[in-house]
Amino acid sequence: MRSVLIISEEYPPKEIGKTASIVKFFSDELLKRGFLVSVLTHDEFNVGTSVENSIRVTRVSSPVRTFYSIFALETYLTTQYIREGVNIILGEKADLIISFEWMGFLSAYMLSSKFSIPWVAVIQTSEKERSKDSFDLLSISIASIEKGLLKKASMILTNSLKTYETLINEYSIDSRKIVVVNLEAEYCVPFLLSMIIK
Amino acid sequence: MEILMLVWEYPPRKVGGLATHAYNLSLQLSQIGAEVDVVTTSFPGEPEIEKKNEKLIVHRVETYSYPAYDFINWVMGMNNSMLEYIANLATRKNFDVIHAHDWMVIPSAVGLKYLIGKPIVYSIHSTEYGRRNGIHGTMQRLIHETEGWGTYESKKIVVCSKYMKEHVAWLFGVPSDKIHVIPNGITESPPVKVDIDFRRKYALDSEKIILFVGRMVDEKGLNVLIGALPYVLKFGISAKIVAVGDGYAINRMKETAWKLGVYDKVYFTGYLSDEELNKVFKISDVLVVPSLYEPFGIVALEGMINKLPVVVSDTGGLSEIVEDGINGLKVSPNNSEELAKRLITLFSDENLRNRISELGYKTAKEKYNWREIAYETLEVYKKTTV
Repeated sequence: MRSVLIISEEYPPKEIGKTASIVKFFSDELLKRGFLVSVLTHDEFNVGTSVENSIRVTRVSSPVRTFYSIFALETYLTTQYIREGVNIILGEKADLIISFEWMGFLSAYMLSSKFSIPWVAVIQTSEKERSKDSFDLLSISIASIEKGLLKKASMILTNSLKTYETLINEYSIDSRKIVVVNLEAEYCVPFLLSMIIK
Repeated sequence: MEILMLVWEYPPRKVGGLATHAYNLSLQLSQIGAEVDVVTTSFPGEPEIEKKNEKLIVHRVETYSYPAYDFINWVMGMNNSMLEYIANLATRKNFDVIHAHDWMVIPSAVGLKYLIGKPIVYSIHSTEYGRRNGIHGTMQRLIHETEGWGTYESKKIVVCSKYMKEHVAWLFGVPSDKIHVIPNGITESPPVKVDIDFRRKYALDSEKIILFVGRMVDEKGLNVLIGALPYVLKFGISAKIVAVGDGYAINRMKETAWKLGVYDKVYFTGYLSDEELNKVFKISDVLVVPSLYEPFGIVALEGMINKLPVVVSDTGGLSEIVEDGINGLKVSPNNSEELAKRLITLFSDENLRNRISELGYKTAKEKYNWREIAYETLEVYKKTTV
């Protein structure tokens, strides 16, 4: 059986924006197609591994409980995603890593690099679009993560033409590896699989 | 044995003593058979990859793509950069041990530990609790927690003194058999010529020079030394304090000198280059290390290796370096009067001065040499792989 590792800051019941529902949709679609699906996500209180509708969900918390900034949280969580990601990959030999939004990019890249597994990054909006006129030092740092790491992804999915243009024009990412799709359309997952897994 | 050493400062970037420590340790390790890859931060004009010798490679990671708005976020950006870099490095190398120096690189060390499944040796050079005499705010709490997390994730911990071993065991609840004491080392400075004109930059011919070297922060205790000066002067000894260093408390130190009427007898030099400081050691008559908190006290060794009599606070690592009356003098911390009495004794007894200077030099030379320290560190590495 083929398996997929998904890394996302959000997964139900933790829903801040739309990401959680998209991740859930991807997980269900992959499951339907016979994949073993593991989701790595963040939750400060509900920590541990459980099987939820045949999807294995591992929730990690920051090893440092003091919240200082979103950037600090990302760094600490990266170490936990790597820890659990390695366990999952060594146990099930993942064929594909999919990470959603910037907070999961570094861990996805590291796991992909270590185990030579293709990595698909999903990005709905870039930091450049989100912060617009309030593009401060924190935004520059987040944009740096997006820009630096997305270049290393095997493939990038986005549902926005504007983001597509930003990735090309602002982040200098090769347009050939960016795909604009409706992330909630039924064709999206089979299309992704046809592109990545031969 | 292949070692990955993570340290945020490495020469030519020198902010504190960590850079010198990491440089000497990595160099000596490479000379006794270990293969060492040092991953550190970039520095203007320095190459990204520098091969120091056949077994020592320095990797300088660009950190400025994360232009953080404060110190903590800069540290986080640095760790992101390091993790990204070493993810690639680890695919080409087969490291046996990850050696992390201080809390700033702990996220990188832990991330790599899980990625490649190798143990961490964590050198704790000081703790946030010790540096600030407690945990008082959010930033400090984050640093303190990161230090604690590092002790949990590492297989072995290295500290520089017995005092630090007890402190770390108490502060983080670490089993003491996990903590190894390996002192810092010292190397002799290159010989320099100094003449009377150079000395006159700092003091009158008639004045004894009492040297202080350190950051101008409360924990270093310069105000205790300044407090001792009026007693020394009153006894009829002409003396001047030459205070080398800079820091947030410098104005308070100057104020103390002013209030005690010895402002003209304390020369605040600010930061000095290594070369200038080396010369200042040569013209001084005594080195005083009046620290209130001192995990190790490398500056005492610098005084000893320069054949200066040293007077130190009986605290932390200083207590372990100095044997009172043998290779230096000890005084109770935060006690200006007692410090003054010991200085007066020292200035009045040439035999004592000569004896402790000679024995101090012998101690520094024989007990704190980097080759021996590298062997001890290698033994700790080996214990993690059993």
